[in-house]
Amino acid sequence: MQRSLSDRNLPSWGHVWLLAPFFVFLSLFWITPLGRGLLLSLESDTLFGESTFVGWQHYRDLLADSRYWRAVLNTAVFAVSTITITITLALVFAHALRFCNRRIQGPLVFGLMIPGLCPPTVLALLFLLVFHGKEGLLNRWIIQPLGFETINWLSDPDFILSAVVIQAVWRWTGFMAFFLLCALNARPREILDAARIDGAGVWSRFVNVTLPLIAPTLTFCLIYLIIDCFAQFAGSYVLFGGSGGTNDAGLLLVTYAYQKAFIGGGFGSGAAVSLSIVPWLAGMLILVAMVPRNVWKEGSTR
Amino acid sequence: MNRKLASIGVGCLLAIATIIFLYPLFWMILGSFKSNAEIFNTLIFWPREWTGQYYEILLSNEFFPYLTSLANSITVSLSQGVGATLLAAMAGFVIGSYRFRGRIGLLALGILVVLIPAQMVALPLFMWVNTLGLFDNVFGVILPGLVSGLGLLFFARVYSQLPSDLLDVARTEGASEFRIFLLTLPLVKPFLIAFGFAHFVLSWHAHIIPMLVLNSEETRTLPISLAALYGSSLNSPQAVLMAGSALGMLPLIAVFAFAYPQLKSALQEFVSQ
Amino acid sequence: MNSFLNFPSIANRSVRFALIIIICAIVNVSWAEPVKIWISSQQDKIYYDNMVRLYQQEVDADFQAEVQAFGFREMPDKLAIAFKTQTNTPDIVQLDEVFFGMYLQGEAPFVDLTDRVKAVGLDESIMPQRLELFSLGDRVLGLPQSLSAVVIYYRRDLFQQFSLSPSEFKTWDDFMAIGEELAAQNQPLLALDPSYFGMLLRQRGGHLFSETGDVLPDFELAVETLEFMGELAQKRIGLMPDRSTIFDPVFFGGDVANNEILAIMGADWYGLDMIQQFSSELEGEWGIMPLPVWTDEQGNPNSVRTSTFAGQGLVVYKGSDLIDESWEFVKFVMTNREANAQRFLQGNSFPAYKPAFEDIRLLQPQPFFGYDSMGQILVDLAPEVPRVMMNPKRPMAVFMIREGMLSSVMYGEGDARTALTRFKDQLEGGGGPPPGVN
Repeated sequence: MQRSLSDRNLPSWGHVWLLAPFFVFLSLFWITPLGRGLLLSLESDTLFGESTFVGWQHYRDLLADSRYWRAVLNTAVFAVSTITITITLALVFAHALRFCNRRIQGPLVFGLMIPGLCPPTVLALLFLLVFHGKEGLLNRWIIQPLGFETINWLSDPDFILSAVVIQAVWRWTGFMAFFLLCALNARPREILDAARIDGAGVWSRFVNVTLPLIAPTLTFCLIYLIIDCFAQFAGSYVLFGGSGGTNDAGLLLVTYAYQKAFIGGGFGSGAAVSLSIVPWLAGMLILVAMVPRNVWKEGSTR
Repeated sequence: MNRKLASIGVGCLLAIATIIFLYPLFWMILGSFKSNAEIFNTLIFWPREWTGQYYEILLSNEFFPYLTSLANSITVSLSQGVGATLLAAMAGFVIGSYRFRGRIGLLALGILVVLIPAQMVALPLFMWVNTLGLFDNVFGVILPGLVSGLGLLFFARVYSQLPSDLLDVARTEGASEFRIFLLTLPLVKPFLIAFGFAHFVLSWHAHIIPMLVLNSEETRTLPISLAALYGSSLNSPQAVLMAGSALGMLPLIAVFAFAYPQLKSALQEFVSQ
Repeated sequence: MNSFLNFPSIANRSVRFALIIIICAIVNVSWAEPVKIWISSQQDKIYYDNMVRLYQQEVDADFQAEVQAFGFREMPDKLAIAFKTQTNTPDIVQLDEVFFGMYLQGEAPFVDLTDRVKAVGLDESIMPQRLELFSLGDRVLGLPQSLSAVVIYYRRDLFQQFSLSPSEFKTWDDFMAIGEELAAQNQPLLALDPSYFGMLLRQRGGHLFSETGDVLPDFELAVETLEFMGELAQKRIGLMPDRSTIFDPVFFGGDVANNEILAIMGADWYGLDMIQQFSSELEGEWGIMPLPVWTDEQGNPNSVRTSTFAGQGLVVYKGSDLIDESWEFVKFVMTNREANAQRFLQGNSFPAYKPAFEDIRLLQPQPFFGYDSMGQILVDLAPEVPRVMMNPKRPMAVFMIREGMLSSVMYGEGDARTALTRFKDQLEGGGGPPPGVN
């Protein structure tokens, strides 16, 4: 609900000066390179020397490339799994945190955020130990006590993607839990009390009252996670260092772009893969942005 | 009775979660006292001896000038944190408060930035920064980092929720737009700090662009310098990497401690429209 | 004193003085730029810093160099970008052969050293197979730092425990037989690594790329080799490490420390660098032996006793302003006696430079290897080191092998022929100009 719209619909000079810095820097440092990147994706893969214009060749090659589609599939599965698990866990933690004493909430939140704040190089070393097949910490402390056979997270094609999901969930749950905690705290008392008095069960209260109230934050979290899963290379790089694992089981779109550019030496095709991520990403975002809007409108009591 | 059980259950859950989530920090700090063989042995948790030698090696600048890198990181991230927040707030103010043609277009531009994977932009951005003469200069990293699409969206949202009474009064009194903007700042202070912190953290760990732009030891940021220790022969003591990272967390912790109270109230207001 | 005020002599002196200043300025300006050397590990940086000092002492006191170390994976990335954007380019790079091929698509950004190499006779004094490694066609584009001869590192203590001796491992059939006996006692013999495929293929005279750039020209040989590796894995004679690689520090703390394997196949730099570093508590318990040979149907040996994999080399950037200075330094590092010795003694690699083979320091028995002399064994095997066909697609091939394109065979999930066919198709289908074309 817009509360401060001025009907003086004009950009006055004052407005232009306020808008200018952001958009000048944007054009200077992002639009220009973006254009250059687009051009790069239309050029041949020559590393040293003059490259020739090849038009849409790289994109055509991508469409016919089975590894590319494998990467699309992997990225989609990865994104959906990470997001569902992270949001669920984050909601659980957020509710749990509300029970706690105000004073320890702060340190607890910080504790949850640690994985996100840790330097990626350290995490790379740590994951080596955590995800190791027989000796790994994950196997020793969780898998084996539960009675299963050790899992070779980093080599077994069936589990590689799971390892990537686990590290993403580990890194982001803390931040999401924090956002959702604030959202939960912001729910108007009256509505919650009203629902409780009405006799609605815990689950029904959650779905019909809480969800719509926290929908905007939830959407923000979803958007952030989607962008991270599709466009962020750091997570997978930390685990695999640019490789996709056995049989490309862990090959993500960003990984494939990196391989094409830096291992195959083809910056043109790498740029094409990177640019091709944009439609997929935009598609996911539109999907996400559309759905909650309806939920929001219905459930909102404003 | 139920309440008690529930709170015990919650307590346990949070305890386990904390252990799992805090583990990297513990491991990192303990690792800064271990030899390579100890670090890579998953059976060993506590270091054999609590030797400060790796910290000494780190601070003696044997591998790279540690304090310089740390200072660079702090400079770059603080500048980006403050700068990006300011730019996004200014633009967000205009877009959020007024309706005008091209508003959606500008927002879309902001989103565009967010959508493009950093990898894609890295190479052309590097070439461009170099053309501008900013190679091996911290400004080559700071200036591009002042543009945050998420920031634009965030502040546009924030300002669209802002009550306009105070501002309308100022406007009728003939105050300039810039003056009005300054007036809003105390009102949105928690949001400024919240976003500033987020951007600070993100820029702290940024890798691709600093790796390309910052070349010499004097300008490199901490993550890049530390990554060079993680070399092929792994002959270098990894504990130095751990020590460097552990000490490098201190600024992050400091900024978090400062920002947390503001963060909480900011986000609570943000979500409750 | 009077003559001092004499005008003509003042003018002469001034003119001479001015000329000297001008010449010095010109000379200084052209020598003021330090030579930029990029290295991909901290340890090697120390070595090169020492080499720069040595060069300043022995050859040219005015030589200035800047040695920079980057992460192993980061260095090739930065290099690729530097070449693409022609910004921040180094003068000399220490590049691993595994990454070298990447820069060969289209025009190679490295100086053609062929004439210079011939002029100082390096084409004779460096092992020819190794010189070929960093060449494309007839053009020498880099100089190899290491012999990279592959041997088997075995555990003396465990061999004793199982009553084995190196002389029993004459052929791979012997190896298989002993392995089966050990497997019956639940003891794997050899660690397995995807890179072994290339090593074993080369040992038998096969190649990943032909001279004309075809992939897997000896396809049947390749299938047989991969099937052999699969057999080792299936019979549990060969043990795949957790991360499918022996280049993993946790492998040493786990599998090796737990005595789960008796032997590792690796090049000279593997033993010097990784084993010495990560298995330091097992000092004295490691021994070295040549590879078992392959035999034909009649049981006659028909292969050499060693192979090769990877290895660093020095290249000079084509667009550098300091090509001559760089070449002088590279030449120094390759030929200087002390430089070659230090490379070995500091745990880097064994040189490929023949005159260095006579250096007593390289031939001494080593306590770490139970008083075996790695140097002696390598010198003995040096002539048998097989060639590696360099190709622009080689990095991609090595990467794909490492990333498990063939590992599925070792996990029992698929047969060698299918895996290799897929490998061949992927490599041939990839973009880029045909190899060998400049």
